[in-house]
Amino acid sequence: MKKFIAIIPLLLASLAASAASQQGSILVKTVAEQEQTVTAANGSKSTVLAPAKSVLPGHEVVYTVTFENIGQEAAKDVVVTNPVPEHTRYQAGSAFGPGTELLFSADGGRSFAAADALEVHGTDGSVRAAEPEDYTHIRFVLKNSLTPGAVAFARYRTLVK
Amino acid sequence: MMQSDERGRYAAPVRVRVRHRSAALPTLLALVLTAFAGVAHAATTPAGTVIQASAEVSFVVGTQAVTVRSNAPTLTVNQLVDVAAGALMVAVPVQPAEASLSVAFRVVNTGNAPETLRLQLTTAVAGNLFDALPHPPALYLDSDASGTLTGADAPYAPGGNDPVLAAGASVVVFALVDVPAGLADGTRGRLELSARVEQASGAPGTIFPGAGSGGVDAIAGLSGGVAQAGTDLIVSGVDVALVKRATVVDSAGGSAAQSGARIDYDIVVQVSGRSSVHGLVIADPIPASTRYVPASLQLDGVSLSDAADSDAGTFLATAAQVQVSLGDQPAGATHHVHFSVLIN
Repeated sequence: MKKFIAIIPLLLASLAASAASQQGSILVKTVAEQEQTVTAANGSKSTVLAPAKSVLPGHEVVYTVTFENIGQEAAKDVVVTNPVPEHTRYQAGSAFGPGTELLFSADGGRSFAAADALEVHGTDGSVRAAEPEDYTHIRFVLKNSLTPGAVAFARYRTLVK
Repeated sequence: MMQSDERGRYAAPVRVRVRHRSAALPTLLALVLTAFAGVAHAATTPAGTVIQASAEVSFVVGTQAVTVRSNAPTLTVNQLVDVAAGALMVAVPVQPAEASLSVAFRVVNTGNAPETLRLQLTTAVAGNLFDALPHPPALYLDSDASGTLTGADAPYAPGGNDPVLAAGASVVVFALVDVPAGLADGTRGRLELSARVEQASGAPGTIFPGAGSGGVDAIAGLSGGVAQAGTDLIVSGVDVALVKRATVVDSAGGSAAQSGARIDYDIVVQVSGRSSVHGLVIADPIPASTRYVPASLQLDGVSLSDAADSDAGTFLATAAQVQVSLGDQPAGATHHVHFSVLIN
């Protein structure tokens, strides 16, 4: 009986280890917020971001993605890809990520390019420059490795259609 | 009565100005046909829709490539309560003692969920020189979607057959009124139609918790859930009818309303009634997303120059509209105005 009990913690430990390796060593979190105007006691107004649970058509949603290296080793070639949520459109010029290169896709994530180089290929062979409403994905490519313990963030805004 | 036959999404409002010499004061009538038909509403996200976002992160640790996903915060789309209304004509020329005059309004649900609308006609409007007399039951719904009042159209009973409009949908409502006798030319009487979302109308931004479809919050939009539209009945012994037709010619010889395609507009102007109209001016704004084809303006098949000069026609680039001055026109006169635009 004693032997049998000892096996279970071992098994759990090995399960936990495999889960950790599957998850890698970056913890990534997406937060949806909306801007709110707050009036202070002295009457001054300021804009703050407040967590959003519900929205209306025409409203803007601010998405912030934070990624933290929770492992023991540096993470290289970090690429953060965000589909533009369904029923929303990307707000031109809103994507921002310190220390990242910014790329977009207008073809469902098959190809990515900088905003000024992104094209839309029509089924009839026509080619035109992509507009922000064409964007399907926003990608942030970290220029440097993410060292253990380091946290980076990226942000973009969308408009509810 | 003024009529319009506008086709296609590039139908533009036509404006007619009539100057009455017979009236005590020179009267300027602005008759505007609002091109409600064909105004494409951008698809609004329906109430109750759940919007999800998540990020995917890929990276390399040592030699191992790893991909992880973030959580996916969800947002529920609330119910936007918004309604708009417009008179199909800003002003309606009427005759004294005219009976059973129908005046058309259009009510549009500009929100993102179905709404039940309560309609009300007001004939006693502040500032009126005469009040039209509602001809019971006063309001009719355009049940057969013909755009004119017919025997198939249902009389409206408040609370009985309040129209239920899907998001983006609209309904034409007719007011049926009589004009009092003994009115002088130029006398004005205003009619107003209001459409109200009974369940959720209030100051813009008012929240009605859980009142939306599927239990989401309903929120009063900029209209506050109430729309009002008015039209002036103007007593006049003369009537100008406009019929506008649009023909689309694309570069392939077809009729697709695509970029680069040309739209030929033909406006038929008909004067009827008992007297003459003085200083008749047809003004037609170029539709949004199109540009005027230089030197395309014609009156009765004769080309008119675009410049403001001795001929009747002008293209006003600053106002983006064509204008044709027809001057004095007797009842029975008919004229054709033609011009073309290109779709940008």
